[in-house]
Amino acid sequence: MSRLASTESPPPAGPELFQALAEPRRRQLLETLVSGVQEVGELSRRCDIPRTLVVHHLGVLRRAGLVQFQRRHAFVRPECLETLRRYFDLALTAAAISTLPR
Amino acid sequence: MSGDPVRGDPVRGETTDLVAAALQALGDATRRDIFERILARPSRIVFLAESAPVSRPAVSHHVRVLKEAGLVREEDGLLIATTDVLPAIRVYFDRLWFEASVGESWMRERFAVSRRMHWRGAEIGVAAPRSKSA
Repeated sequence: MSRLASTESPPPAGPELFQALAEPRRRQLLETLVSGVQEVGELSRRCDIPRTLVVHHLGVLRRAGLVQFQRRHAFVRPECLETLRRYFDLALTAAAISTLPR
Repeated sequence: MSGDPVRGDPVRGETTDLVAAALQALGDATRRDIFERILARPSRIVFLAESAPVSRPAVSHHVRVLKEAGLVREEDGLLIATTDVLPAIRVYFDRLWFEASVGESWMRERFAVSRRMHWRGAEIGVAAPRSKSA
């Protein structure tokens, strides 16, 4: 499973991705993951979220393509964050254009 | 504490309540679809409701949530995407991406360079160059 996950192409900006990001605790987990914490128990301690809930949220993040697992450790996929950077970059450009005086 | 939804700093990879509200608003697929259509071209609720898969009151509700999140504003019934929150969201994901991909190696490289320059300065008997030139 983890082998497959690592070779997947970067996910499109789909509904699962945005749904995963809408939950404050999942964002907190994501922020903690990029700071270098990868182990479920440690994530649970740092974020003050029960272990079972951490596992659940990591599952949602994995299905959204944001996180992958290797040897029971969770890693954030930078390609997925790249997708989001591009999405909001385009959104900002589009918003800036639509606020131009006509 | 990282992830504090109220006092967060997007540059530190934390969400502010504005970023949190916007991401929460975009979590709904129909709402994000409406937002993208307003982004593409300023529009009115009537036009949005014509081609939306949901009822007109539902469209009004989604638009209200987008307005409350600061993503959309209304001018004489015309809905326009704002640039108020989007930069902060972009900075938030920039930071997360940076940390997840190049952050650590960049820091290591940067400190290695400044230390090398410091030692070179000591060797030839001049002050170490300021870190700006590193």
